[in-house]
Amino acid sequence: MEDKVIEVNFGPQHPSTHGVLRIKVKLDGEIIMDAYPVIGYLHRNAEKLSEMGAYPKALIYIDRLDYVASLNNELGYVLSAEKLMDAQVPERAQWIRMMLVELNRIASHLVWLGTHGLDMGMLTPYFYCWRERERILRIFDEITGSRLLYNYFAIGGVYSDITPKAIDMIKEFLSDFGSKLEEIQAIFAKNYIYVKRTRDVGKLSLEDALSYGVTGPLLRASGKKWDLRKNQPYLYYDQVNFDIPVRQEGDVYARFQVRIEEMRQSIKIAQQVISKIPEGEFYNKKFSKPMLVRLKGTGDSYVPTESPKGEYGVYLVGDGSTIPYRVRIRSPSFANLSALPIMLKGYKIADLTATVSSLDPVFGEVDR
Amino acid sequence: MNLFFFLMSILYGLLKFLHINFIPYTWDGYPVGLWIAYLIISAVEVILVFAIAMIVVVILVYVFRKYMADLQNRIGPNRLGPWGTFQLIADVFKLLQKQDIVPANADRLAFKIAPYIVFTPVILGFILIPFGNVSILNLMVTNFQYTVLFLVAVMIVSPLGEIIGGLSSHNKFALYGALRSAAQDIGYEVPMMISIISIVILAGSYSANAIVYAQRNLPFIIPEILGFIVFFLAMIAKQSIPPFDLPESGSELVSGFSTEYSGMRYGIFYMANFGFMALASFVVATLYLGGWEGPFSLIPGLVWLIIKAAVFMIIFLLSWIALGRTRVDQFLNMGWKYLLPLSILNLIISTGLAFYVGGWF
Amino acid sequence: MIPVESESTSKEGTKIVYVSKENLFAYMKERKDEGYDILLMVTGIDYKDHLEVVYHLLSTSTGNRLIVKTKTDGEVDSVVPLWAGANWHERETWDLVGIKFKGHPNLKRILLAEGWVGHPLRKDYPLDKKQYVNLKENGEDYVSYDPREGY
Repeated sequence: MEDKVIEVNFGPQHPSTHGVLRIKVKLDGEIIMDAYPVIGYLHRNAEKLSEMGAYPKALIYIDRLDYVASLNNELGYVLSAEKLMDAQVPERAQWIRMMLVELNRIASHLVWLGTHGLDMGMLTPYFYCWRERERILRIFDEITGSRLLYNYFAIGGVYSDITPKAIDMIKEFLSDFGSKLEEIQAIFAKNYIYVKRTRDVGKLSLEDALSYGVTGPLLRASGKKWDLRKNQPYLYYDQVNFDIPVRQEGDVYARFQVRIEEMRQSIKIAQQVISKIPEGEFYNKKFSKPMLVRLKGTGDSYVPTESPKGEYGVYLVGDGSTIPYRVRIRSPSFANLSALPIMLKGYKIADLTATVSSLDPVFGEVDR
Repeated sequence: MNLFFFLMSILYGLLKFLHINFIPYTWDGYPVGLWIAYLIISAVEVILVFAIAMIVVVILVYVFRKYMADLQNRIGPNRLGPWGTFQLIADVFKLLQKQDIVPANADRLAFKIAPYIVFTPVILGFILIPFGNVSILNLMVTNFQYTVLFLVAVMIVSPLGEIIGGLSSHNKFALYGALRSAAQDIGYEVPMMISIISIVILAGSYSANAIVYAQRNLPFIIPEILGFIVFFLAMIAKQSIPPFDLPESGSELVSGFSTEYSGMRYGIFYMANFGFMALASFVVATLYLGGWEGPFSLIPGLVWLIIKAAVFMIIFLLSWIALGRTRVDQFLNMGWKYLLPLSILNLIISTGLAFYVGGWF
Repeated sequence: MIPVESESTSKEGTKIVYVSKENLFAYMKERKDEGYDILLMVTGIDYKDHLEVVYHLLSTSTGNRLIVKTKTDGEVDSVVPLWAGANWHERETWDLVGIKFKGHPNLKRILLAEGWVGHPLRKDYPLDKKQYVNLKENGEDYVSYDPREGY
């Protein structure tokens, strides 16, 4: 038995590891006997870097964690910091945040869907996903001034107001993205080969998912109706109307279905939000730009948010100075990835790429 | 061979006409001049076929890139030459300039010859295709009684090159690519050959020319629809393009058997891939769609064949562009559980057809 | 009931519980049985005179959250038997803060290279000393202060 086992290193330079994941795999022929993920190749110690400057300065490191959903990352940090400083945020800023976060969730899921297609050997859907994501990036470019790393959410509000042109762009995007999404979904879901390859692959039971701290779409695909936007609403998610997609199977196809449905719900949320954005200030006057570096925080706070990958939050400990004493980032991909070995055991090599990509790991966030 | 005699007699007549009588004696019943002419013409023919094959490959690669780009909201190659047509030439020169890297632990000889083993059958295959007829002469390089048999023999050589290349690379991904290549070959080659045998039974001959002639009334795609499906899927698997690109499988095994190859050796694999796609389309068009025979003879046979082959090329490209990859076990399941019984059923049907209405074909 | 040392609330209103190092595992087992099915993260904080380990717990059935803190001098019991997800979080805490977890199945560095000197999230970690990482022949990492030996 022992001499039949081949040990193969998948990564860190491998086309389908979504960056720099390395998996030591023990193989018996095509069957995976054991998998041991090795991470840390993109480690920059964002937590230490954040402890070295004033509170708003950490945002640029937070931006670079999950680089396909930067605004979701910023939101977790900003909400925690505001709790730490007992800051009040104007309503308009909160609604703007909500809308942009939902758009960014769509963008993140589109990146996932495209790369997932590549991992399954489908070249073409990638470009359709990128086309739609490009429109979201243009909207962000119009609002925040940059396409990938925004540094837009500030403690006490947002850095700039949204323009009428941006509103028009968002409305136009939301009006026809639904039909485009249907097309993209059909490429996958009506493809016999894709469905055959993802059904009953990379199964994760609910007990294992909870034990490993798996959250987000993976947990919902394993049969738990748990979404922080619904269960523990932050911002104004209790004032909008949406559903939580849940699947019971816990396989790759269920995760695909959950994420596609989540994009639909995000459209729904964004459509409601855009009509509800009130007039008013977009930042708290007490936290105007020159004041930001002088903000002081005491105690500790952790506001959980539902990022595209799962529960994301920043645990901040302040010691009364202008510099955070300890910044701990709860990154969903890190916890989700730790459950990878049990999802791989007993499946084939080809299922490895399907399963890894179904986790949607982003290594800026895993390695921090 | 007909073409050879045609050209040879022209050359011989030319020599006679110019009163160049340097043939003092005959050898083996033919004048020596004829043998010289034979050698020259053979060389010309081989170069011609190689050139045709290469031109087809170049066109195919260009069309593939442009077509794929068009379907994916991209522009595709557009910098070099008009509409980017020189892109492939530039790519080939780039590959030629690259260092020829052989891994330190590789089996050097096997590693170096593997690309040629993959590529040679493509050229050999083109020699065996009947490209049409000019008046009474067949436009093909070689014509003998067992063309189709030889074609099959040639086509099953190229996976051996993949296996040799993969095993000699001393790389685990290449090893897996080679193993998959071997498993895949066994999976599709048996049904493929059985479906070819059905055609041979129906046509009553191993000769490709006779098979084309047998389809003058009805292309074999209609009585042999099951065999066609089996053969077509086998051809997709043979080219290892999606959905059956298991030996390469870019996202799983890095690049499968060709992981360690770089420079022009990789370029040869790449050309062999497209060359085989062209060859496969010609073979399918010849065996199932009546080759160079067309419904009306106003258009020459060569054009008919190219039109038919182009249809299959586009289908192959679409399959490449649109579909994902199957898993190894799924492919083997398909090969053994569906394709093999289907091809045997098809064999029985064609035997019956040949027995009862054989004369009609 | 395992006794707690003190209770407070964090800024966003979650209950914080201080547990002594000896009682930690028993207390966590009690909470796990109580329905806290997800261990969100394990955090180590360096307070210069002592280290603190912070556990964030979440119950998906009731939606309750709980923060458990323990003061330690560098070693606590591992909670991997209770939550499998604690494995990586504890490895990370060992890697970056240098808190040992007794009974952890595979307490190796996870983000930094094996053989790294020091724990970066300690307040006394020397930031001016650069370390360079390279691979040995057998595939293991090694770390050196010489820039010519690594990356």
